Amino acid sequence: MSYNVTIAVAKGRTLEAVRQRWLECGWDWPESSNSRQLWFPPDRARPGLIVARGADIPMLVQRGIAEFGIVGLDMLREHPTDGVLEVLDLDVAHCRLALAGAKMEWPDGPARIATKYQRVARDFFRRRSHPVEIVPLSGSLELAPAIGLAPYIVDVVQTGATLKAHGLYEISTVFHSSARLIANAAVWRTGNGMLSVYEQWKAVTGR
Amino acid sequence: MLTFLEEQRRQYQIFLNVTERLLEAGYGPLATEPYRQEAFRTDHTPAILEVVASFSPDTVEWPLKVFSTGPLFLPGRSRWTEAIDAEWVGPIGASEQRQVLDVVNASIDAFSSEGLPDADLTMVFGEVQWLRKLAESWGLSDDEIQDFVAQLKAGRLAAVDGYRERAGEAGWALLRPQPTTEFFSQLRRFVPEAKPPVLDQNWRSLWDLSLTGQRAYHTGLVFALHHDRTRQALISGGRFDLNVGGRTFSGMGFTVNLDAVREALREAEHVL
Repeated sequence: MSYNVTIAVAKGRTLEAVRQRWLECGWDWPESSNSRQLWFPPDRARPGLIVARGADIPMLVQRGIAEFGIVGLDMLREHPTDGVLEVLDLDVAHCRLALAGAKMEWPDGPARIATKYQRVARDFFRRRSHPVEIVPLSGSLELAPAIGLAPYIVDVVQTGATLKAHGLYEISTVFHSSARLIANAAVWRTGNGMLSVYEQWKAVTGR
Repeated sequence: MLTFLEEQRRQYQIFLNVTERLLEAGYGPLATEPYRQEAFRTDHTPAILEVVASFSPDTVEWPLKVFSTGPLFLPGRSRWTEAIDAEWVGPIGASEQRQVLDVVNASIDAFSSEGLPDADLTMVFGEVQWLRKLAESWGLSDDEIQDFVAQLKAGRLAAVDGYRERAGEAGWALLRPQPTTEFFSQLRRFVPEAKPPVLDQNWRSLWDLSLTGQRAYHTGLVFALHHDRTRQALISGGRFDLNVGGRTFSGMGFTVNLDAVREALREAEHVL
């Protein structure tokens, strides 16, 4: 009997980290001669797999294109989506969202912040009643202080090596992130035999 | 183009069928602003209650039964969805709750009359007060209960995993969907007074205390009608308490998501 479940996984470090867990679930990892293949239908040996951008994973799950998704907590907080439930911390792809700048100092007065996490950054500073101007950037954030675009950035940090290489200091941690299993609310709450996928993930994460 | 227009026609027919049933049940139409507080409307309920609050209480005959129609903005998806929102505003007990659920049922009949099989529908119920009592019975403090409910409202089931040990397996099982009989036989160990509303329906129903309603103002019985194949909520709603203009309004309401109903009808035809 073939699996009838599809899991959408965020490409990049989440996909790399999830591969081992996927194998521990007893499923084959889909192999393809075409490295650009991003959609692997379910078969007898494993659930289906969709590889997509992290920001798109909640929407794919909300629309029921994939019953489950795996994406970092950073993306879930930046892109909250109705009809999607965060059901399990997979304890892989650890990182943190951090405020960084050229000096090890909290911003003095209103500050300009370059980030691709606009919602998270706004919430972080609003909670501290600190006025900020958000500069939306989609990449190469570490350059922003050096080129005079913004003296501070809010970005994902894994080891801190990239910040150090650009002469930046980690001023404050916004929150810690790891990969999360998310589920379509209708699938989760009406079951239909698909929750065994969750049980398998739960077993391999030891939770 | 013909298919597109036919789908639009059927969605409009559903709109007519549902509003007709609301009118028959004594609900009156009430227009609300689609743009309020410098943002597009994402929810009809506060907009309806703002209109209600603009009248002095002694000029209103309670309960007030009203409905509003029109688009809702979905910020996460940068798009609009068509919706009908019906509200019973006023004191609400078990009998009034039953009357609202009868109107929900009549709305579902309106879908069936357009060809949506009841067999594809599952209504999931939750109850925020019972959830709080359950958490109390585990020994959670007031702050912990507040956090527990807030995390569930945000859909963060993984974030409440830390309470699992104190809940025990029997208590934790109430946060997963179960058929009515099994659910209440478990729940009464913790909340002895709990009993299900009397329903006369053709669709499947399940109970799951992790369902708390998406809105902060949902304070009691909540529900969501899911279509099994499109995995969308066709109807959602529940008991509310909401402060508007310095006055607290209680009642129970529900939203019919017409775009999701249209998708479910399309899927039903595809299967046929």
